[in-house]
Amino acid sequence: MEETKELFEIVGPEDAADINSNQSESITFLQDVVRRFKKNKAGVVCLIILGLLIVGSIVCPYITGRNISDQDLANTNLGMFQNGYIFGTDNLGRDMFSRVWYGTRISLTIALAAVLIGLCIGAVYGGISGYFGGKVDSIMMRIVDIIIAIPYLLVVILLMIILRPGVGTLILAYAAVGWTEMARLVRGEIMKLKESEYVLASRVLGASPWHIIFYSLLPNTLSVIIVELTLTIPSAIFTESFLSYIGIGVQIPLASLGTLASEGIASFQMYPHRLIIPAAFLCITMLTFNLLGDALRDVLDPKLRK
Amino acid sequence: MKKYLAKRLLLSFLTLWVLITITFFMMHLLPGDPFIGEKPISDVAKEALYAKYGLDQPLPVQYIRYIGNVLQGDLGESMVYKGKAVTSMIAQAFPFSLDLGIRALVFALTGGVFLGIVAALNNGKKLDTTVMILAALGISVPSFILGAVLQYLLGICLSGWTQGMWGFRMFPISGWNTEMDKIIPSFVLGFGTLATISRLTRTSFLDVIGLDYVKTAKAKGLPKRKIVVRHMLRNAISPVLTILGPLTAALLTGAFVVENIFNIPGLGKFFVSSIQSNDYMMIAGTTLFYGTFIVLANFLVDILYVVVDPNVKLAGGKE
Amino acid sequence: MKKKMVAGLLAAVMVAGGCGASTGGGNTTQSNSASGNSDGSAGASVLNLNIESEPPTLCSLDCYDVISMNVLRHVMEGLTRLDDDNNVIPGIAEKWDVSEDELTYNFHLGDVKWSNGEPVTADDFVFGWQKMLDPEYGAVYSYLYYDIKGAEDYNTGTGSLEDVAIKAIDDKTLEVVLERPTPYFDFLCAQASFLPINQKFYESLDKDGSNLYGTEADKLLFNGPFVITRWDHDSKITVEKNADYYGADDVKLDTVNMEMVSDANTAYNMFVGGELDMVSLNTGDQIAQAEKDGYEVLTKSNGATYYFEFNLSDPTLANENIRKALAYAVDRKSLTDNILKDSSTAALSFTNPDITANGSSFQSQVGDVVKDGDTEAAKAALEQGMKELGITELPKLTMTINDKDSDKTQAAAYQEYWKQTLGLEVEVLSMPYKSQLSAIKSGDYQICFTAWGPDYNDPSTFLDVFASGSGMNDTGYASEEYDKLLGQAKAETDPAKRSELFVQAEQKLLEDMPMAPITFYNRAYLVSDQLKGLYRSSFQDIDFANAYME
Repeated sequence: MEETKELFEIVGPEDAADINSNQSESITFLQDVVRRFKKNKAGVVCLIILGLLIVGSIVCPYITGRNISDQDLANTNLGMFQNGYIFGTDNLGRDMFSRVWYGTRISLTIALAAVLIGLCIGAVYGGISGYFGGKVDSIMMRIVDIIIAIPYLLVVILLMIILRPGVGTLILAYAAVGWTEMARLVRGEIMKLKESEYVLASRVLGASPWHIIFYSLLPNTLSVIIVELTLTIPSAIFTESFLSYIGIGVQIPLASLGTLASEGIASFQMYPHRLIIPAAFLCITMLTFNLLGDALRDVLDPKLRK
Repeated sequence: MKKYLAKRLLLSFLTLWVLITITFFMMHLLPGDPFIGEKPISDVAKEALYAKYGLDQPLPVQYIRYIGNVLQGDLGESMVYKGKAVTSMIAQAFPFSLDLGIRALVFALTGGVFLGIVAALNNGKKLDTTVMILAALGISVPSFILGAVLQYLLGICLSGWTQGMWGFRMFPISGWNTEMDKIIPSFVLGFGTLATISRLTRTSFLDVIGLDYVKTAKAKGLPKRKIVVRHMLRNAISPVLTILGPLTAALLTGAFVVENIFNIPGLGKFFVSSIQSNDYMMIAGTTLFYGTFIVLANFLVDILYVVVDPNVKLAGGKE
Repeated sequence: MKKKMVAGLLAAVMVAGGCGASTGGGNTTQSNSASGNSDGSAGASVLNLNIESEPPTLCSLDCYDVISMNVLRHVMEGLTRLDDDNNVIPGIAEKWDVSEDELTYNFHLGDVKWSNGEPVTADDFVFGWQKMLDPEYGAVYSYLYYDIKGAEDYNTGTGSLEDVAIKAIDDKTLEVVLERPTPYFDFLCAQASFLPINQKFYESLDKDGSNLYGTEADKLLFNGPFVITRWDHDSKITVEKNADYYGADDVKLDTVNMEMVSDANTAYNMFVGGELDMVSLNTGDQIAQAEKDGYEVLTKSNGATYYFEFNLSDPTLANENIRKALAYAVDRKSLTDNILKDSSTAALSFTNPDITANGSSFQSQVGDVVKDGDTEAAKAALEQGMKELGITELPKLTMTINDKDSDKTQAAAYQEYWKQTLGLEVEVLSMPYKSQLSAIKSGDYQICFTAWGPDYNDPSTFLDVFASGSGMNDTGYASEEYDKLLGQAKAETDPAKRSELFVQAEQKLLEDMPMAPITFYNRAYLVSDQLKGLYRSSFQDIDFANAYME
């Protein structure tokens, strides 16, 4: 295979670049992104914290050997680092360390799942709308306009009441209203991209619209999607904690950061750690995603910011 | 302009219609019978109640009837508060929420824009960092935590201290009567929004700073204050306006929590309690009211947007 | 029966409270903060209470819950009243004669006026009571009247109004004839369900087939120590002293604000900030908090029993041994000591100890029947039950609860008891109170957690709940033997024998176990130092008629 190069004649320097472009440009782009991202200190820190949160939420609930629902009624309301309980215990003597990490897992799961489902719907919807344009687009976008205008929290609350409250319902309820912003964004990008020559080329070659949308257009909107994704997650986490606060969120004995924090509020004057720890986790998670989103936007989509 | 307005108006009405439809069907899916209580109700009495509220009719009939009533401004009668029109309940509670919401919005807007400009003008300096940390806190602390903590720190600790020192309590715990009552709740409700606005203002201000006309103004030797106010503010504020609609919605729904914590007799508190008592009519009516309010707010913001930002072109509803 | 709404709510409901002059405020604990601006400045005496949520109704015909009763108790008066020790004392009726055979009561009404100036007459009672029994009206508490001759037949549609023995002899004399001697009849007359209603006023509020009586402050007439001057729905009820009340001289409070604060934390903070004069403590955490802040925590039984109800139409729970396994596995002692911490006690029988029969606590006559936290017995019962059902593994069970925090905490504890002792995973489904109620009423539940409080001092106030066909019996339990024992007891005139029959009935109930008692509920609450003379009991959640601010 070493010889292959020799078998061909190089016609000119520009053409050489063209031939390679298809394979190498994306790598270069990725490398470029990584390089730029590395320079963004806040972004790197956020990514590390996020990594720690994810790994911690997978591993930590098992470290102490105490389940989130195991009760130790002889050791209720312990403070931090008492009797071998790292984060202390709650009013039923449950290990706060396991609970908080497990709660982080639940909150992250809900947020990620909800946002990913929203992403799938939104990307497809936006893709179709943007690609076909014209009447289809205008109808589809008016529908989005209408849905966006309806306060999503009201719809989520109604859905949570109608369906049986729980993790699955939370995900479903949020995803049901959370895809519209994504659809708008993707559609805007596609509108720009669809006039590109490579799309024209695919079309001329007889590619079906679906093929073009899924293989040519959507992958190129990835950067916009990723940024939006990162910034929507905190909103999903917020919604979950809000619903848990008004009592229609995650069901016991499961716990999310939202339920833990609202349980903590009931007793924080007496046992501050029961609020402070879950609240800190909640805030750090939201903050990390927000800042990471900002950083990614800087890196992936420099047009959006100076 | 006219065409644009007409389109926007049409869209708003469509939105409202969808909203009515959603609330109507959703409330019929709510679990539980609104007339079930401790009272073992006789079938005859139940039928009478169903007839009274029209629940014995087929769904489409109920639906059309409902829309007809809504168009006449009749949101029905509460099923829990006998004889009370939903509209009169809303009229009773909404002024409190509106007062709270306006205070929070004004606080968030003025504070947010001001902080955003300060941060932008000091880009990269300590002040900028401080403001951005504050803003980061604002977008990451849920209001139910902030509310409970501030109620304790200011309402209990600080007020307890002022009482010890001077014999009066600085901040009351609850209520919505005196101006002092209103400070903490408005702050809690507005804080998240303030953070969002300050981040946005900062970004758009930084964008504007680099533009030619600002450079020209600077070169002309105009005083800094004049440049900021006359040239930059107008341009920089339009992105803030675009999110004003959603922000209003966020403030309204955020009020569920704040009104609960500070015991303010507003619509948010009402809404949650009507959910808990399965008061179909109240839920539907309140949702519809909230929705209408927000759609209206969005519509106004759109118009405002056109008026304020000289760069916006009217594309007849297209993005 | 004031159904104490359900567990969680209950805590919520009961809150307002007070303390007997005996229990309460004497010793001054710290609380300099609590002495704040609670008013009393210009001589006007103002009391601020928390009733936690909107009273569902103030129409005495529909009233069945503690909150509504707490309000009505102070603005409306019936024939009799209860004093601080729950003894019957004269109300509107200055005196009453009882015939030898204890069947005929003649109430002589005093000179009392409605708040519109009209006199309260015997006809007002006749109208209110007949309305209560009207089968078309369908009042929930009509069965409290069944001791009156002809009442049950008329109410159930088999008799006529003419045969109901409630009669106005003249404007100021009411005659009532009973079906059987009822020792607690004068006690019943003090209940909200026995209040008078002014017919003319009531009928003026008819509107499109429904009546608006009791829906607004101006749609009520008052004859009690206070009148409602303002009713902001879901926010606040303000009552002011009724200058025309016959006992006005003993009423020291000028204004009482009944706030509806549902957030327990906010309510506690308001108490600390001097914005409430009494607050309930709903969780062990809150009690610990109050103690830490230096308040003296008062506790008092509210006469309620908390219990599980099992849905007997569920194939698994239809098995008695499975139900027993679930009941025995709960460690009530540990629950009350470690989690509730509000001095509630483990309930090993149904009727609350506050109920007396034949001169002593009925509970002590029944004894401790249910096994508490008995792992061996629970396991044995479970095995036996599974054998009887012919299964090796129990299908997943679900417990339906209210979405209040205190309920969730308890439910988490039950889940853990069942898991530890029986290896059972029980799912908990929490929902808003109204949804829960509707699920239970329609039989769409397996296990639920609920509470019952007494209406009068007799075991039947509890035991009637599980009579077959009782509107309060949500389990589907129907035992001929139980019904028979109840009927015999009610018909029995000898107090000792009567009590013995009730004991047998309760033992039968606990043997069949369609329900499993958990705790006898005590409420914990705080009262500000200035508030005196407000007291609470099993039969009157709050009575501030003679309270005053120091």
